[in-house]
Amino acid sequence: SSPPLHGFLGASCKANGAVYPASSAMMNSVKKPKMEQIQADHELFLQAFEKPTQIYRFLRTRNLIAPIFLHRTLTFMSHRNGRSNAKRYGMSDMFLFVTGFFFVALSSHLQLTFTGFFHKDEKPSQNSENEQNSVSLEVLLVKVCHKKRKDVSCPVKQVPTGKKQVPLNPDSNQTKPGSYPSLLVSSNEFEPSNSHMVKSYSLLFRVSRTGRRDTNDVTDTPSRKKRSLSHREEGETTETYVAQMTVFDKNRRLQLLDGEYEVSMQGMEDSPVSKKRATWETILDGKRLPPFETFSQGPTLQFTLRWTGDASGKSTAPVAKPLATRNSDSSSPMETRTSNHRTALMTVKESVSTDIQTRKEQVPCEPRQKLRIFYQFLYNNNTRQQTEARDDLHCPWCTLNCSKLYSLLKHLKLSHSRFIFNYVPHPKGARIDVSINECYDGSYVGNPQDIHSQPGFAFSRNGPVKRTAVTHILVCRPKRTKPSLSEFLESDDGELEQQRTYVSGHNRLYFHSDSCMPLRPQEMEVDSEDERDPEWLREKTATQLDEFTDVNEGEKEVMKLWNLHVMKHGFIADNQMNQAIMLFVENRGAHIIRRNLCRNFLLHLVSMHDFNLVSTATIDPFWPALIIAQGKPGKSIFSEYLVFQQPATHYSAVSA
Amino acid sequence: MRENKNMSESPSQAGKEIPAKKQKLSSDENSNPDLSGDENDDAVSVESGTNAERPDTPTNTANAPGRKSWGKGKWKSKKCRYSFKCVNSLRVTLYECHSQGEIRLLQSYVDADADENFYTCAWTYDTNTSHPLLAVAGSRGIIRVINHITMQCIKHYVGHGNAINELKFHPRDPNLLLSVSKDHALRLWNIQTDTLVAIFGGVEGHRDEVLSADFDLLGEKIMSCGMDHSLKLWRINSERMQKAIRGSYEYNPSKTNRPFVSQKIHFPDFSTRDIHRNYVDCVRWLGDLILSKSCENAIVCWKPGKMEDDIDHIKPNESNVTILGRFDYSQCDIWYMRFSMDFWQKMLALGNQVGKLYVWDLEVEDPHKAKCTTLTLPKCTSAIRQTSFSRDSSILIAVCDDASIWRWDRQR
Repeated sequence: SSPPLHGFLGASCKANGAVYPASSAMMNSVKKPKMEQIQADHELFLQAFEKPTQIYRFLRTRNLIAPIFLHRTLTFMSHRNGRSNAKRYGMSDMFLFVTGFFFVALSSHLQLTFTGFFHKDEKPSQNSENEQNSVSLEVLLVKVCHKKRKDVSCPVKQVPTGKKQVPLNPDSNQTKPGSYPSLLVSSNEFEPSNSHMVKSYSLLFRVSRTGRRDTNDVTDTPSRKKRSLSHREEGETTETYVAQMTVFDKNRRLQLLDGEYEVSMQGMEDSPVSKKRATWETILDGKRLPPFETFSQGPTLQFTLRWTGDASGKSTAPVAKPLATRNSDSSSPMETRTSNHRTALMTVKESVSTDIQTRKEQVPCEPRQKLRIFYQFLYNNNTRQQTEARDDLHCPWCTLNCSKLYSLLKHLKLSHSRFIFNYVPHPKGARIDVSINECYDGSYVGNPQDIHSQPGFAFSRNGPVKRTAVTHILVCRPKRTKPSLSEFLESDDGELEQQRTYVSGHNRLYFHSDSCMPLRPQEMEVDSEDERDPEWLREKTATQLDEFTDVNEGEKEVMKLWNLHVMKHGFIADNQMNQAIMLFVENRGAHIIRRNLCRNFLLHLVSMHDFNLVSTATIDPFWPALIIAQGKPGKSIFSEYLVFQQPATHYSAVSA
Repeated sequence: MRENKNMSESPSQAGKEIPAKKQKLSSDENSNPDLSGDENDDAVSVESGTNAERPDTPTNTANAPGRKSWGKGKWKSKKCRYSFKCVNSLRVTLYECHSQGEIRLLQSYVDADADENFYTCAWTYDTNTSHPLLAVAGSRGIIRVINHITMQCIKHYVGHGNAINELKFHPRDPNLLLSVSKDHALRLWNIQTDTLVAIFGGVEGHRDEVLSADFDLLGEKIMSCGMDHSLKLWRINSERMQKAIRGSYEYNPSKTNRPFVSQKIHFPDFSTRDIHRNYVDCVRWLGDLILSKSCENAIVCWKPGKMEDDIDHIKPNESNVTILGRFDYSQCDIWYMRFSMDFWQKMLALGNQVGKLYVWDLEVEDPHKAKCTTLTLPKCTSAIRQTSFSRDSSILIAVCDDASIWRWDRQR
């Protein structure tokens, strides 16, 4: 019975060797009679912790592949930040990096130990009597330099570093480990050359194989035949295979870490490629051959690569570690950087600067001691518990190296809020009580647009996409309290308050009221409901008036103009009519005169007057207003004005 | 090439007290035993069922009267046509018609929402990649565009307030998609820029579910019909609509914070209720004439205005219609039965509720003399909801309520 937590947390417990299965020890003592009980207990435990753990495992992987933030940017993870913003662009900083880089490189050699050249196509027994059990290998260091202005292409320098005879298809059981040919590349070679700044360094392996070949070899492929033809006059063939591996890429990242390598070699074409050589590849079940297929057939070159301080020294370069390996030994600076959870390709440059950073930090912060963290998992209404201990400060869920207890606790609390973490000081280190956060709000907190936008857009895996461009810059300069472990102690009051996640703003989708289409956040300001006189209503009003049969065309036109005018400005009360008429004349006066609708309009005014909506006092100044609107007072209009002036005054006299 | 809508699965239609509806329900009861069989692998079972039927087909129809005889024929097709159906709610299934009467199941898509019930689909193509695209929609009112090459749902459009009854692509612009909905409106979408170009409906629009619509041959106008017994003409070659369509192509949401302004077309360019006295569930253009049907056992061929009037000069308030002909048939008085025409508009096919297939040859001088061929099979007895011709009109596909697909090949 293995401790249940191993499935969750002890992903690399073997490598670590420091997982303390406290609960299993307890189990063993009461083993047999309570098997069912243990089973039930285990079920309860899984019930509580399985789901959130799976979620956090998934998020961890996602964050490795497509991070949405970097842990090193968090204030409480500042020690993870390899550089400081203060000297981000400073020259001294650059200098530091450059020297740091060569500091490491200078102190080391690149040691290559060749295990053998494997080519399964060949029949080793056939030529066993001659020199065919070894091939000649030449290793060249290729320096691709930066292009200068005069250069057409990047200048390439090839520095030969040595030639070795490498066994062909050796049987690994027979050969003694010490007898492998080995080659040292001095790291001086990686120094900048004088004339050109070198962009990238790579190793070029060139294997040449000379051998008598049967000219009537039936098994040969057509291309091979052709090649042998070209050498037939000598009776022997020279086959050359090449492979190139980048040591430092153009970003000065070290690409070749310590380890055993098997390189797939490519036959070098010694005659120009003709189209006839094109061959059909075998397609298995519609799928292409996986790239690893080439390794089963060869030709491949096997070698061991080591960066050594001296010719036989201990490895000094970072070793590629499997993902998320936890290293209990965090005292060595070398180990510190490799234990970083970021994946295998570690840059020398960064690691050096991390070293510097770590060294700087080590002085003021707590002395590095072996901290033991006891995770106590509480479940079943906090009546049951299981304990697991760890020797490092990695987050058990996302294997993030938090380096400090404070950072670990802060990270746990903020990133894994499905749980509640309580810190309890412990003589050996710390105890963290883990329980399920019942108040966790699992509702969607992302951008609702992402759900409703076109598929594949929001969560595109095919590279960056432009997302809904709404940015609110919130500047917050909180007064940060001095980091203290006491903030993680269980508090009696306000516990629930603290566990609540804070979500603010619009986390739901809104829709346009007129078209029911999803509303983008930036469209919030556009009021689609702002329609006092929508176009359709204007049109409808007009068509309805057109349907009148007892009204002449001129009257209809004035009625339409007037109705639309009232609709547009929203006049509702009788006492607004004076104002409505003034505005109407102002806006529509010219149109009325142009369409020769003055009489119709006057009739309208008269009927309004009849209904006691307007007084003559309003009508009187209207005519001059209309004349002004007309621009040039026409004679006929003016005479009309005079004519109608009389009855208007007459009415006023009557009404008075 | 098209679709089948299985109305029996739609719960929303159940509550209505309309004669046609009752008949409809009774027919559903007949077909239910078949439907309830195995919902889950319906697509497969249908497929094999169809294959099992195949050998019967030619012999039964070889001596069918008429100018064109139907049955297993010889035709050449390099790229076979796709037959498509979406019965049994949430499934979209793609078939391919091969020679020798074979129907091969290609792909099947299932909507994530168990409540989805697809009613309709339409083919178009991606103007950039030339991939064929399939738009499907149904009870949830969400249009999905499926690229069956990449096997992805590449677009979805929400906005309709209710179920979508028919989808049509513009005959000349493969990006313009017309959807007609239970929400009384039609919508014109631009699927390239994901914009809603226009909504046809409102104050003078349909007063009930829109059931069907069709673009004319040049894509200048749309005729729609619905449960309000009316047929409405919407012109899209107007200045306003052309501007809106151009605008939809120019709209780039990442460059502006303004929403795209959809046109709201409240006023059809012609409307009539004089053709049918019941739900109008299918309409197609035939040149400048219109073929439409209700659940009255006849497809009516008519035109707006008087005999001599030009369709392009019909006034919105025109009250005349001219009926030019009728194609009569029987036992087809339930609603949501669609007829179809082949690409060349020479043949017209409609199934009835007992599994009979009527095919009219329109290639005659006098439309009254259009020859009708009846295609029957003993095992095809449930309502044929929809039919579809292949592009070269050599294959006729009929889809039934009992989730079976029938394929008829033209023998010549």
